[in-house]
Amino acid sequence: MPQLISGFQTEWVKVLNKGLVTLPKNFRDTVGIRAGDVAKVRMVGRRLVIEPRDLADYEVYSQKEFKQMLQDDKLPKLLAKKTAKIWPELQ
Amino acid sequence: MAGTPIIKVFLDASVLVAASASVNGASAYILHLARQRKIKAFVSEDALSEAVKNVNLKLGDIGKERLNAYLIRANLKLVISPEAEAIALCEKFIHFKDAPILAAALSAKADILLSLDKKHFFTKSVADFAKAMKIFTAGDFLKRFFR
Repeated sequence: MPQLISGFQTEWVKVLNKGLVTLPKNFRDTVGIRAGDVAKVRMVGRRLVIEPRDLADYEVYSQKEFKQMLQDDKLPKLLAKKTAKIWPELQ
Repeated sequence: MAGTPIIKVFLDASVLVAASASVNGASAYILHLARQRKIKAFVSEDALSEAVKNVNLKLGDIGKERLNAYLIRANLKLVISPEAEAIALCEKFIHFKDAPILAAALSAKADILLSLDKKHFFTKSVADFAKAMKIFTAGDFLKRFFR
């Protein structure tokens, strides 16, 4: 059974051929990983962290990156004028 | 473009975010072309989630409203999430956060991947890996295919 150690639950699992392991059922149930799901595995130092898909940390653009993206997305003036009303409902 | 096959274009999250920020930019024009069915535009779950996160953090209600409108009106095709193995393979060539998007674009067999993320997508290793699928910014794509 998992042990509670300073707020962390740990359990030993056997690593099989090609790195296969079984995630303990109560861990899977707690974080919401189900059979057939895609989970993300990250290496943090010498630890492996497995995250359910809905916790995946999608990239957040920095202000500098965001500004540059908008700059790169600008159309030449003439074309921008022509396209000014392509989405009139969203102006 | 009559008589020629419609180009299959995969949209990275940055294109959806830029279009949500400005309706007069190249990205908004790409979504307009998709609405008119002049291109076939694809997105993935990951691209959508990244776009939603950035629009929520950086743009106000008008940005959210625009993103919703594009999702409803631009005839975007949703690509199912690629297999973990395909994502892991892409991680060898691109930042791990962008690997699911590159893998989805490849699994959709897109002709073109559009992105404004120059730092991660516009590298030689990604271009070599993507092979036939070319990667452009929205503006460069328009200059090349829709003058």
